[in-house]
Amino acid sequence: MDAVPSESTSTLEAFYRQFHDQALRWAVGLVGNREDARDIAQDVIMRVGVRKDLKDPAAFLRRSIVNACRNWHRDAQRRTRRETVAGQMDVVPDLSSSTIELIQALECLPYRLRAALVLRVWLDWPEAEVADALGCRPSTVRVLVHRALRDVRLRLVAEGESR
Amino acid sequence: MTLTDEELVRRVRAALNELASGQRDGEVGLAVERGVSSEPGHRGRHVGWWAAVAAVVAVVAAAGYLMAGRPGASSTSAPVTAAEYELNVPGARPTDERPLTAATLATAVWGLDGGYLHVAIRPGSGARSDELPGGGVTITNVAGRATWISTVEGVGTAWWRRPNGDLWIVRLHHPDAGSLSASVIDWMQHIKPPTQSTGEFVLNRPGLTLMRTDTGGDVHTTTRTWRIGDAAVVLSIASNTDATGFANMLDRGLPTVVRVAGRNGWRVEDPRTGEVRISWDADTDGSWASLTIPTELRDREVDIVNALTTG
Repeated sequence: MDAVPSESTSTLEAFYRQFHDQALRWAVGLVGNREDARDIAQDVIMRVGVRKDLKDPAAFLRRSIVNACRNWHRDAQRRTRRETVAGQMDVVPDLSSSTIELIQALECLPYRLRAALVLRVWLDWPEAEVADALGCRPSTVRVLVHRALRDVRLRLVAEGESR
Repeated sequence: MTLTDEELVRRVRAALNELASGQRDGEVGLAVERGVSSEPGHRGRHVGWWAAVAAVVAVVAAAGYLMAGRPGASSTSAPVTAAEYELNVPGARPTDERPLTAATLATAVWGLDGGYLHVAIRPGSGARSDELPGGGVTITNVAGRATWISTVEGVGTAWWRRPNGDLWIVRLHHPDAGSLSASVIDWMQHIKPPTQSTGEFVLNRPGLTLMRTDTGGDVHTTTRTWRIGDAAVVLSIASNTDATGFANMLDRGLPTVVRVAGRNGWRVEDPRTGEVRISWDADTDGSWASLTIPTELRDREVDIVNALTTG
C-alpha cells in the first residue's frame, strides 16, 4: 500500500493538487449540492489527470466537468420527477433560507441555462470559455444568461407572492 | 416584488458562495477562482489544531455523550425544531422559516490520538455502478477495490467501491496521515456499517473511539433567521445528522467549547470569511444545531449567544 508512487501517480497527484479545488467549485455550482459535486470532481479529475495526450488539459477539464454535470442532471431526471428534485437538496442543513430559495430556483432551470448562468455570472468565465464548454457560440452565451436570469427572477417573484 | 439584474446577480453569487463555502475540507472555498494555485489557501488552518480535536474527544467523553440515547434512539417526544428557539436581542426580527427534507449518508466519526477517522457511505446506484478509475494507489481485496487518493496536508482519503455498488469514502484527518495509510486500509476493512439490529457503525480496533454515527436517510431541517440591521443570524436544526455535522465542524477549523442555549457546544471561526458558527447537540436523538453569526455581527457575538433561548 505504501509502496508507490509511480510516475503516473505523481502526475495525477500534481494534476489533482492543481485543479481539484476549482473543479469542485465548478461542480458545486452546476449540480447544486456538495456530495455529488465531490463525486463528480473526483471522477473527472481521475479520468483527465491520467491523460497525456491533451494539449490543453484545463480546457478539457472544464468541458469534462460541464458534461459530467449535465449527465448527472439527466440521471436525476430519470430517477425522479423534476419537481421532486427541485424540492430536495443533499446534506445542506446549514444554508440560509434565502440561499435555499435561490438554489431551488436554479434547480428548475434547464441545464444549459443553469450552466451558462453559473459559469458566466458566478465563476466569471470569459464568454469564449463558456461557449467552448457548452458547445455554442459566444453570442449565444449572452442569450442563455439573459434567459436564465429571466426565469430565476420569475420563480423568485412567484415564490415571494405565494407567501 | 421587483428584482433588477444587478440584485439578482448579487443573490446568485451570494447563494452559490454560501453553498460552496460550506464545503467539507474547504475544498471549494477558494477565494481565487480563476488562475491556478497548487496550494489551496485554506489548508493552513489545519496546522496546529490536531490537539484540539483530541480535546473535543475529551469534552465529548466528559460530557457523557458518547452515543447516549443513540443509535436508533426512539424518542417519544417531538423532534426539536428551530421554531422552539428565541433570540432576545434588541432589534432582532425573525424572518421566513422553511422546513427542508433532504437526504444524508450513513456517516461515522471515530476519535483517535491526534486526529479522527470519518467514513461516509454513498449507496450504489445504476447510474454510478462504474468502477472508480485507477491512477492512484489501488489495492484489491476480497470485498472490492480501493483507490487511495494522495494524502494532502494531513487528510488522507480512500474511495472504496464495494461489491454491492456502495461507495465508501473514508477520510483520516491526522498530521501523520501519510504514514498511516496501512492502518486506514485495515480499519476500513473492519468497519461494519449500521444494521437494523446494531443501528450504528462498529469498528473494533484499539485506539479508536466511536464518537458519532448517522444511519443515513432523510434529514429534516428547520431554520430560523433573525435579521439584525442588514445582517442575518441563522439557526438550523437538522435531524439524524449529528455525525455529519460534527465532522463538518471539525473540518472547518479549531473548535472551542462554549455554552449555548443551556448546552455545551463548539465554536468555530471560518478563517476565510470571519463568520462564526456555533454547533451543539440539540437533543439526544441525533439532532444537530448550528448558529451562524456573520462577520458584521462579530462584535455582538457574546450577546447573541447569551440571548438564544429555548422554551
